[in-house]
Amino acid sequence: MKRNILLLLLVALLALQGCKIQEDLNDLKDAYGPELALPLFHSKFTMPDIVGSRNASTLIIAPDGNMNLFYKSNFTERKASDILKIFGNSIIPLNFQDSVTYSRALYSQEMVIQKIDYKKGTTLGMGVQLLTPNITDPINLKIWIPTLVKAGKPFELSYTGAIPTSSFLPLTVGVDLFGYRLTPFPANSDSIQLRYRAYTTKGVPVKISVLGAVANPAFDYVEGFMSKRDIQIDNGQVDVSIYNQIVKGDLKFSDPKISVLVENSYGYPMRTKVNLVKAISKRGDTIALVASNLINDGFDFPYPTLNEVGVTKKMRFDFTNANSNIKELLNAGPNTILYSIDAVANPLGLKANGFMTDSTTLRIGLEVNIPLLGSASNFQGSDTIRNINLKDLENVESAEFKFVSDNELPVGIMLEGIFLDGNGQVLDKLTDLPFKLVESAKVNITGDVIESTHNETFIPVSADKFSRIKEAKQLILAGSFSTYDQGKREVRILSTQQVNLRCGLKIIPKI
Amino acid sequence: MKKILIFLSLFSAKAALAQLNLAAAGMPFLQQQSSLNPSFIPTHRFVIGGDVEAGAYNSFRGLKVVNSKIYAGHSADPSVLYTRLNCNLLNAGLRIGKKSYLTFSESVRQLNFGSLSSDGLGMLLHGNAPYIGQTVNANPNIQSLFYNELSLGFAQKIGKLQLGVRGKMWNGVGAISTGADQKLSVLTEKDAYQLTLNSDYSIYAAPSVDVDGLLNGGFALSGLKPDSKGWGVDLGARFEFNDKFSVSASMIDLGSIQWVGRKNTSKGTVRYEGFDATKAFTDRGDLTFGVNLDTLVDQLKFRSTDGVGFTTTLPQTFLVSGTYRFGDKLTATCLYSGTSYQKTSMNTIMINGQYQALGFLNLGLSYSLRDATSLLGANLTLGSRTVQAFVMTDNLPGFFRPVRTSILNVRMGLNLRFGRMNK
Repeated sequence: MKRNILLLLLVALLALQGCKIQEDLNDLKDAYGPELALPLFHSKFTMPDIVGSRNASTLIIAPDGNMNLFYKSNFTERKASDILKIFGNSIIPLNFQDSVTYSRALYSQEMVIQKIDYKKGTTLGMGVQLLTPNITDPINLKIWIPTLVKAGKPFELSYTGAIPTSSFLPLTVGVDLFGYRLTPFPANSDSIQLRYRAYTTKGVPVKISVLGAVANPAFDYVEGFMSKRDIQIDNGQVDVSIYNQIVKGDLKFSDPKISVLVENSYGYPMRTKVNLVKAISKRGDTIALVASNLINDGFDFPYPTLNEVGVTKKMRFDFTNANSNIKELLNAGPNTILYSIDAVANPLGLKANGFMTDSTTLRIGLEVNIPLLGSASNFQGSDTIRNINLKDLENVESAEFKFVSDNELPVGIMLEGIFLDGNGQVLDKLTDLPFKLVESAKVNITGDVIESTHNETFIPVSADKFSRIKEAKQLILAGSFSTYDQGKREVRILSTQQVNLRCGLKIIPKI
Repeated sequence: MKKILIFLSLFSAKAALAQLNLAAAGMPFLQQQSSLNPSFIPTHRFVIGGDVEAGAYNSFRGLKVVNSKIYAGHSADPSVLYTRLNCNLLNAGLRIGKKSYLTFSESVRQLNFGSLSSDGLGMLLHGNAPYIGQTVNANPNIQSLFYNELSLGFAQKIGKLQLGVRGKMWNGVGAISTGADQKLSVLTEKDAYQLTLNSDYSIYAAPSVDVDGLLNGGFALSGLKPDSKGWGVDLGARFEFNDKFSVSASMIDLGSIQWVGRKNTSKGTVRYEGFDATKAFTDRGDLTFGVNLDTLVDQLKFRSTDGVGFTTTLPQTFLVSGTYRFGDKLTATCLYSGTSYQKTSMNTIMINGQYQALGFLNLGLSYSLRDATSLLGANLTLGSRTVQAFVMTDNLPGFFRPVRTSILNVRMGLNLRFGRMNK
């Protein structure tokens, strides 16, 4: 009995002891409360870092740090060989019987040809038949074209021998006329002179029939007079991606410019024919470029002279605030600028010679130039960061983010973070309302930064919120950008201005 | 988690560092007194026994408990945690004549020592958030030794004086050791909590283990062999004024062990400011929120050198005591002990009373002051003329609230005694 009571007492003591140990452990657990402060991320970036990586454009930085965004279209072009068919047919006959004959071998609907250098592949074939009967002696024959000249020597075919009367004797199947220059005779006509001399070996003149043809006539170089004609060029477009992220808000640039770029190797006076230039925004709104008489009348652009064969003349024509509604057009926030610009050759119908080669082309492109000088007011853009991983925050009881920024840019940013799961469903937001991430640097009356700013924002995150966002796979960052003084003053953004952003995290881990 | 809590349970307030179990100093009938004073000569011709001694002690400076919350204060002295396990496999002695005593013992010993500055301890308990803007000099000092001890001792009575010496050969099996003067500090910046680690720090390990290995669990006990050697000596003396009163003094564990192993060194300053998110903001790259603490350790860039020799000492203890016999059954001992190790010192004053309650039962109680902590110890010895079984502790209440106590020690064992001799 006593032993049983003792055993019971011992068990009770052990149980009590066990309870006390557990109680002490629980007390210790309550007493142990680490809070960790750790750096999460850091980032330094300038406007070139952001703009340069996100836009298919060129960011030009001047020595003084001023920046310009350039958006360029691809050039649309028209080659002379595509639009001008000098010769209507692929065969030009050269048939004659008189010893001196004129042929309209230089006739063209497109132009009055004064000179033509044939392209490789243009060939001349000829055959002869004797017309004078009863000739048995061999014939000395020379056929020549005085104004078809190569290396100073006219084209000439010579033959000595019998010439049949019943059929044509081919003298040549095809002489490549590459390297030959043909000019009209008489001058300023579309004709050339063809000649032959035929005598027997005893000196008796004979008459022959010449059958010839120029096959696949194509020019390497052609010079002559071309009357006024339209040159149609394909439409083009410029994507202005800086507006791609815009959701809403105002983004105004002070001194934008649209430049029409022309590269011309036609040896003729040229003038643009601007059919349209219009901007299309993400919302679908359109606005056309208005530029007084420049759109309707067009503008002339340079061309190479006869002494400048092979030279391409370039020109840039700017549509600015001074001569157009370009500012209004760009400040509407377009994603795309469409243009249709043709050309008119010899717009004044001048009777003067010009030239073309087989590589002559007319190229037209459009360039949008946006100097980073302007203002923004609640310009909202958003971006999605995919493949985020918050697994390391699983064991976090609660936390507090500290965003610290030192900003030299005259742009302030309010930020909202929205966490989404793998299916794109919203899990939670980082904060109920957007918070100040970066404060705009201060500027003077001319828009130049005079003082950088320092900002600190604390964002607590409760355990409940953590439990919701830890499964997030995507993070939408929706930012609202405003330049100094809520966009009431224009500011200048320089390439050297930097945002230094740091984030620290205080966490209380789960015990 | 529970392991951490139990580990931390030793870090409660009002702790004081203690050392060996000292109750044996007041138990002259116990062979184990020889471990505290090699001049001990038992009453029996031949004694053989063994025991196990384990203890865990801490001294955490500046800790306060307020409303059940632990707060780390500031103190110039470091906080210390010390555990010790001695398996005395064989403890034998033979009297040679009436005045001489030869002893032999073999033990396996394991010792762990860690010290951390009070701010370092605070950071361990509370994290680094309360130390934002401050440089915390943690300077952790870690010593972990695993060794085998063989000893040969001799005690000689010369008139009323007893002198003893014991030579020890230590065979080192494994060690982790940092230097006492080394520096490791952490600054958490106010700006965005960037961490600056300043190190001039070396960790020696034998067998060769690098820092990653140490962080992942040190070395495995299997496969270890005693490659390293060390030598030590204990010295002791006892003077009997008369049958009732005697005084003793001793010095224990003078010596060191020489090891050859790997030196892992970190020297320099690294600053960790989180990952560079520039690409994520500019190029829409991936973004991982999280902190990789392993990265912080990697930042320290430990470099390893093999074949490096290093020396470890053991806690060296000085004891002085006086014992008075109140008749045949009651003995009182007053003792002072001072232990120094790794630039820390630990001081104890103890009063111990032993009472022979029955022929086979001896009970003891002790009261000790260890630095600022008072302890109540107890011991019990059951024995016939030949067999002795004993258990002792310097902190009996600690066993009932082990989580809240800062000192726990126990020693228990068994002795066989043969040939009782007249004095």
